[in-house]
Amino acid sequence: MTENITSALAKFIAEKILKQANKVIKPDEALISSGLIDSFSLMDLAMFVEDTFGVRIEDTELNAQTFDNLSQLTDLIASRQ
Amino acid sequence: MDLSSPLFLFLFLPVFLSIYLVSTQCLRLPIILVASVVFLTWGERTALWWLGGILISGYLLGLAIAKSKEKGNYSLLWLWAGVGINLAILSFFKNIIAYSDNVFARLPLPQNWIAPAAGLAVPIGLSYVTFQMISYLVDIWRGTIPVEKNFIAFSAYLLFFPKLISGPITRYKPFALQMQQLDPSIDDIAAGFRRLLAGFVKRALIANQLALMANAVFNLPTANVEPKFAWLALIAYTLQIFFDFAGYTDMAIGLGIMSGFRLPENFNFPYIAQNISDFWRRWHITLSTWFREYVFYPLERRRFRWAGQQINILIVFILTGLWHGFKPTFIVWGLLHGFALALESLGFGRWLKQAWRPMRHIYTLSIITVGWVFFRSNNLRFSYWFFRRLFGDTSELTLLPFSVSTPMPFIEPSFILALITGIFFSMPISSMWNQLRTSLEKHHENLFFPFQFFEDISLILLFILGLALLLGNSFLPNLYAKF
Repeated sequence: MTENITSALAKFIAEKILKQANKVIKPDEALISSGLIDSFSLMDLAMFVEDTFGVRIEDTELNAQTFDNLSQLTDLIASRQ
Repeated sequence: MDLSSPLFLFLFLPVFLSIYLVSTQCLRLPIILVASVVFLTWGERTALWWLGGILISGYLLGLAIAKSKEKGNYSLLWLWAGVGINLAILSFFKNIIAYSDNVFARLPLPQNWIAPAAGLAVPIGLSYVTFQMISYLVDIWRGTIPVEKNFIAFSAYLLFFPKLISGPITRYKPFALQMQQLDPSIDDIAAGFRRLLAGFVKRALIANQLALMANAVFNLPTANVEPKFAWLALIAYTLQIFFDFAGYTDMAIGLGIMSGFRLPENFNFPYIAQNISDFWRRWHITLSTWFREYVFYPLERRRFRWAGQQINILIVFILTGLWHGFKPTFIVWGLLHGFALALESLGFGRWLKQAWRPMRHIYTLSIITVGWVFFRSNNLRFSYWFFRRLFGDTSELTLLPFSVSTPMPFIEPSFILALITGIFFSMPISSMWNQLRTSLEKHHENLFFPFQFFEDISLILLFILGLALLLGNSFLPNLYAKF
């Protein structure tokens, strides 16, 4: 179950945010603190999570303290489903 | 009262700390509140009435929002009332009184009403208090924090004197958690003093020295300045605003640590940023975070289909400019950053990431310094002529008498030293220093003691030097206090 969430997130980030469909994103790779995803793209990611998994991420949670890699975001989604 | 003033350093702070540290934990919050009220009213008694009014209205509106949420009605109405009151007061002071002296004279009011009102000054800390109040009310409405029913705790959060004048803008939740356990250790007090002294040194020895040149040029009625001095003034101002504001923030954070609070960081070497987006993750971090979470993200949830994100970025940066004042120069500064960020949000940002690293720095520093010209100029006409001077245009340049142009004709060694030191410490040297300190503390305890001793003695000597300048009446006020 969580593997499906992780792979869907990785695919969205690589294709829609980074525009590099072939890029492999590791589950523990830093996304926000490393600058890979900037604040322009964080809302796109939040909307994707909301539409795909039915889980809301609050505006104040869109930061590296709440989640900074795919594993942490997957856990956050799973905990709210 | 300025945190760098002798009155604060040698009277207010020792008295506050003596009472605070010997008191029991349950008395510490009331002591903070009393100290903050004294700090606020010392120089400007009227500020207390305005901020007191904002405080009481915000406290009651917070309760109203929480109660309405329980009942399931009108909570949004109360929220908008709270946001509206705060924005109205902020706009009134910053944009009507601050920039239009005769506004009251135009109103059909009795003369005895107009006279005292015309003398109103912008209450210190207004921008910071109102923004923290708005975030508090929005967070209650969102349900991310509980309403604060203890008026002393609520007031201490908003008026806490280290962050009252120039931030950092602090969210209620992390502050409230810390209020429950106010027990600074000896190590906290020592670390707080080090941070306080470091901030003072940044302001007194770097920002203050550079201000002499920056002010001499930018305070001229017209940009009647030779190109080389225009460049020198621009570099001086670029460093001055950073060291003044970052120094003040260091002092605020240091005072927070001494009192048992960890206030958020506001700067992370902004001039090493590789694009403007990166710059805003490093410059005035708490303000950019506030705008991102309370304006940009809510706008992004309702983004227009065509160029929606770029429009939202421009809205946020026009508002950021206006937060500094309703002057065309601030709006142009905000728009410049907004346009750069809008471009970066399109393909330019991805292209820039692949570009040669020095190119990224040149691009970023160019936008930042061009922005500072608008930010510091008194009007757009000055900015226009200043840019012409930067490009070597000497037309209509007239030699000024020494009394007007000083200290431009002579570059003092202290200015050169401050300039070089400023450039050097704009780079992450202090981060490396802190890493060295941590490494010695963990792995080489025998070396750590002399290292710490050397650091403390150096800080104290630099503080004394800065104090000598302060007592020489050459100290300039905190730049961000006026915003």
